[in-house]
Amino acid sequence: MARTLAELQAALQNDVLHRQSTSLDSLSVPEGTTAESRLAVYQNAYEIRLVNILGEDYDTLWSFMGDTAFRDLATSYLRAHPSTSRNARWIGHALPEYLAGQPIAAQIPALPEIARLERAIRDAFDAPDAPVATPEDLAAIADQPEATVFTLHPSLALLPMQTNAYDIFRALRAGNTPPPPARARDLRWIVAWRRDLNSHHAELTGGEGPLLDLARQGHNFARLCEAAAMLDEPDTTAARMAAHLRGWLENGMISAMGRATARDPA
Amino acid sequence: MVDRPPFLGFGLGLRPQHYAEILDADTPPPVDWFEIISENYMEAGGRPRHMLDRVKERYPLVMHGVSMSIASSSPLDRAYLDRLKSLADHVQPKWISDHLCWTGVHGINLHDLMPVAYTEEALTHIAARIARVQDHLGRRIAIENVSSYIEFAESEMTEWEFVGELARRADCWLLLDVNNVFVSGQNHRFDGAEFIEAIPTDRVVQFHLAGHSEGNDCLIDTHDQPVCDEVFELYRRAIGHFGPVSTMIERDDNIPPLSELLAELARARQIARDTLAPDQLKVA
Repeated sequence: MARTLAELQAALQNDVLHRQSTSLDSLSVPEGTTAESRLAVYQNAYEIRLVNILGEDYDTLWSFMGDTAFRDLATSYLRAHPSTSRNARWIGHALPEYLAGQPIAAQIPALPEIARLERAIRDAFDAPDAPVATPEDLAAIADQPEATVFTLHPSLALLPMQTNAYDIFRALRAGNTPPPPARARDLRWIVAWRRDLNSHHAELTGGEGPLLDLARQGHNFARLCEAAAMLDEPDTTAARMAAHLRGWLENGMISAMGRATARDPA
Repeated sequence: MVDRPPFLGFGLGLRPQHYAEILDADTPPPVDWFEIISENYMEAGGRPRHMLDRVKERYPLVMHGVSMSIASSSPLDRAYLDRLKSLADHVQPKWISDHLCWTGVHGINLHDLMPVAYTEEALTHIAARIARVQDHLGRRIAIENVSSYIEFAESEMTEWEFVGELARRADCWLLLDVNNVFVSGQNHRFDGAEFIEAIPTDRVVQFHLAGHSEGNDCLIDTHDQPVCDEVFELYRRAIGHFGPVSTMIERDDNIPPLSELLAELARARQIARDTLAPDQLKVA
C-alpha cells in the first residue's frame, strides 16, 4: 500500500532518528545494492553530523572526556533532545543541563561546568550587537548613585562555578595537561563575553563576581557599594568599586549606565 | 517565457576561513559574486554580520538556505520565513534559494536534505508552498535539486520531470546543482545529461559545482572534495544547454585555501568560454 507524503516522511524520519527500518518497503534502489545500506547512509550521516557539531561546540569537554565517553554522551543527548532548531548551531544548547543530570556529572561535577563555559563563549560569538559604555560615561553617574543601574552587554554570561572547571578549560585550551577535577574551596566566578568581535573569558576575583551579578540583576550602584563594603574593608570600598567599574567599562562588559527604570528590583 | 535574473558570472560560497583573503588582499580575488548560507547570518550580531556587511559592500550576493524544508508535510515555519525576509532586506541578494527536500516533520530537524517521492501529491503540495513562500518574500525563489541515495516505490515520474513541472507550476527559479545530478545519476543509474536536457531553460538561474565522496555502494554528496572531471564535463553540457548561468564552486567541508577554489572556478570559466560566445559571458 503506497504511503502518502506525510506517512512516508514520518516513517523515514523515524528510521533515521531511531535506526529502524519501517520505511524499507517504500524504498527503491538499483540492482546490486540494498535498501538497508542506502537507508544507512542517512542514518549514519545524521549521527556523524550531529555528534560532530556537538564536538565542535564542546571541543574542550570532548578533549577532557575522551572520544568514547563524549560520543556516548552526545548520542544519548541527541536521543533525549532531537534537534528542533533550523540552525545546527543550537543543537547543543541543552547539553550542559542534560549533562548535569547524568550520573557522570555526580562523579565529576566539573564536566557540566566546562560545558556551560563553552556554551557561554560560543553564544557570545554572535549575540546581538549593542553599544559599549566608556569610562567617560562615569561622570554622568557620579552624583546619582541611588538612581544608577547598569545594562550589561547582551553577549555577557556570568557563571558561578563550584569546581576547578575553569582551570581544566584553560589548561586544555593552552595545550597543557589539565589538573585533576576537584571541588573549589569557594565559589568561583567566570565571565564570558564578546569584545571587538572576539569572544573572551576571565575569572573575576576579589568579590567582583557577586558585584557584577548584582549589577546584572538590575541593582543600583548604591546597592553595589553597600555589598562591596560588606565583602572587604569598608575603607577601601570606594577604591575597589572604582577599579571594578573601570575594568567592566574598559573590557566592554557594560552597554549602558543610567537612571533606574521599572526593571530595578531595588 | 520568463525573464531570468542577470548573469552574475563566476562565484564562490562565502566561508569564514576566507574572510581575510577576500577582504584584506591588495588585489581582490577574481570572484564575481558570493553565495552566503542564510542560516549562518540569521543571528543578531557579532563577527558574522560584521564580515557579511564588509563583503556586501564589494560583491553581489545571493542567499542560499538549508532549512526551509519546502517539501515537508509539516506547516511552513513562519518565524523562519520572517527571519529570512529580514536578512534579505538587509543583504539585498540577487536571489534566494533553498533545496527541493524536507529537513524534518513534527517539529524535529534532521539537518539533512531528505529526498522526496516524485508524486502528483508532492508536486501539488510543494508548488503551493513555494507560492506561499514567494508571496511572503515578495520575490521568486530558486529551488535546488539535491543528491539522493534512495528512491521511492511511490514515485510516479522521474526526478527531472518532477523538477521541471514544479518550476512551471510554482513559477519559481531553479538552482541546478550539477554535482547532485551526477551523484543521483550514479546512485540511481540514470544519465545526468538526460536530466539536464529535460529541464526548462528559462528557469535555471544558478549552477552549483561541488565535490563528492565514494560510499559503500553509492556516491555521497559531501562537498569536501574538488569537483571531479565527470562533473565538469556535465557542466559543459549544462552551460551549452542553458546558456550563460551564474556558476559557483560550493565547498562546505575540508575547506582548502582560496587559491584552490579559484583554480576550480577558473576551470569552470574556461569551459564556459569554450562553449559560449564571448558576448554571452558579459556580466550584467
